[in-house]
Amino acid sequence: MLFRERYENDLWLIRGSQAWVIAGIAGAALLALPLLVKGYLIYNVTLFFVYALVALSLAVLVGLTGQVSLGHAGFLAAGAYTHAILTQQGVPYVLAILAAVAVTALLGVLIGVPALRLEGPYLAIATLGFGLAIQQILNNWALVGASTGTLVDRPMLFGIDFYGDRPYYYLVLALAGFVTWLLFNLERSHVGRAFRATRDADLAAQMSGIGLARYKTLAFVISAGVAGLAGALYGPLVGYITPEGFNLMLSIKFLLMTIVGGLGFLPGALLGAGFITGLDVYLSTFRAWSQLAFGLVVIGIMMLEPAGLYGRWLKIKRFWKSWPL
Amino acid sequence: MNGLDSLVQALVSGASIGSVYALVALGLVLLYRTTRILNFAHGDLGVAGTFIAYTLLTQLRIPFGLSFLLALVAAAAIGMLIYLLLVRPAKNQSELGLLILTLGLALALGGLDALLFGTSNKVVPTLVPDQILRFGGVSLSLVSLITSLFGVVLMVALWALLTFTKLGVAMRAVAQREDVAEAVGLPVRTVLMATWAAAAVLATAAALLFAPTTLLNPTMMLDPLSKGFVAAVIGGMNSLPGAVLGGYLLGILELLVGVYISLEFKASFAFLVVVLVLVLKPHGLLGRADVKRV
Repeated sequence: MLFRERYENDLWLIRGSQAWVIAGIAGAALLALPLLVKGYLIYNVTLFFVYALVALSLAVLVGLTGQVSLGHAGFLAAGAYTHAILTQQGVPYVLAILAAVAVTALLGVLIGVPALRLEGPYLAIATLGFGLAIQQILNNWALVGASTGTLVDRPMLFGIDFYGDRPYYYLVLALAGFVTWLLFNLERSHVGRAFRATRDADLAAQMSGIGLARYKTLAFVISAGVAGLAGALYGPLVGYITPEGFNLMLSIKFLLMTIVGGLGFLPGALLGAGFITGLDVYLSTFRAWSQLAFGLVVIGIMMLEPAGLYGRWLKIKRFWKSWPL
Repeated sequence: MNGLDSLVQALVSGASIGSVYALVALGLVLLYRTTRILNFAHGDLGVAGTFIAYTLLTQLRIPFGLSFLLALVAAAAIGMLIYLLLVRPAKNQSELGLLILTLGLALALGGLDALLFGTSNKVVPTLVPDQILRFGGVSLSLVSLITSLFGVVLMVALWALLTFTKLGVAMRAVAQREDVAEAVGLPVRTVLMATWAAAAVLATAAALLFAPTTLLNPTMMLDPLSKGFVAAVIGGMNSLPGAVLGGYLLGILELLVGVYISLEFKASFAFLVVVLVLVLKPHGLLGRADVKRV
């Protein structure tokens, strides 16, 4: 199922038997993975889940509504710190997670409203500034440990201790999987179509009765909230958060994930998150060469494949569908 | 030091760092208005040029002025090569795709610098031994005075290039409408190459001027680059006078905040200014809105 030929195609969550097979295999593999491999890989795959959430949130913002953000590390930091402070005060885990999402969603409104008037480079720099400002504020805030950072514990939930890498992996998988399912559903709902309409032709969308201000702000709120959730999952995963960890480079990497994966496709964001996270881990073994190699790979993808990894996958599928004609 | 003196002192020092911001912003705006590329590799281009100058100066013992000039020439060549080898053949020509391309380039250049020269700090020698000049209660370092003057000279040179030369007129024409410029017979590719070269020269000049006030290392230009972006956005991404205005404004405001309000707040202050300016004027102080054709 490559092209959407009927209205129903637009509504299906998983399109065609092939997609079911892929989704099934991926799901089974992710469920079985912690039983088969060692701790280091489990940690990295959990990190991939967290990054995939941020990449998805950016895919909604940049890919669906066409608003760029270079400050998503700021939302991640806000979520991580909100969660960390609240759990240190003895607030239950579930409430702390919800609060982290609420706080970052509120920040999303705060950024989304001025962002309504901005576009292109202006929005890019304004959001970049937001990310740096969050980092600066955390750096000078004694309550959260300023530049030395703060410890974050892994939760005890329903009598289950999530301290180990394996239990925590399943917790993150469950939450990230749930939100991924929500976002894929969002994309095929009327909200998703409104997002795409504002991206493709804002004037025409407005003429058709789509409130631009409403949907553009909504996109920022959803994106920020998801990134905040990712932050709340990130803190306990790494165990120790510092403002320096949420630097501009991280925001850039999130944007790279969405674009390298394939802008405008939610599965692309997952692919991109996996690719960039994996590349990062793999290249770190090369030490001094890693940054150069990373840059060259990014340049290569941008030069060769405008639609990203997912776009390339679609082309391969299309080729085999019509082969040998 | 009395109140007036400290105010003048803040203005003078602010203008001195502001001239670096203005130069960075000029390079960014020059490239953006012509090619629609938000160039995140600008800082690393400048650092690469500075490393070339540093090598010529300390390893080959080429005199000061000549090695700076050679570094600028090398930067121009690098700029042209980037356009010819990376930007023009790139299949992803969307604004965001090209932005990511320059991000990749920034990483690659930074990585290359670190690989070739190491990440340790190096001291870049100055043209004259530094001394402090005093005018009444206001003191000023000789090096930063020369820096500011050189910055102004460069800005005037760029203005003259764009206003009085054929190349400059062609650059402005391509910036306005690339397709029409091509239709009337302008060599658009050459003009874009020249634009990249000019932007790279501006990047290197800014980095060379900034280097003596700090230490040379691969991440030296990170802060001036983000401030340059801020200055460019405040002034308006398609306005060259706006870039200069934004640069000086930001430099001076930043210093005033550091002196009168709080030193910790100084760094994030720039971004507060951006948000304030953009909320009031979404296309910067002197920028024009792009006309959207439906």
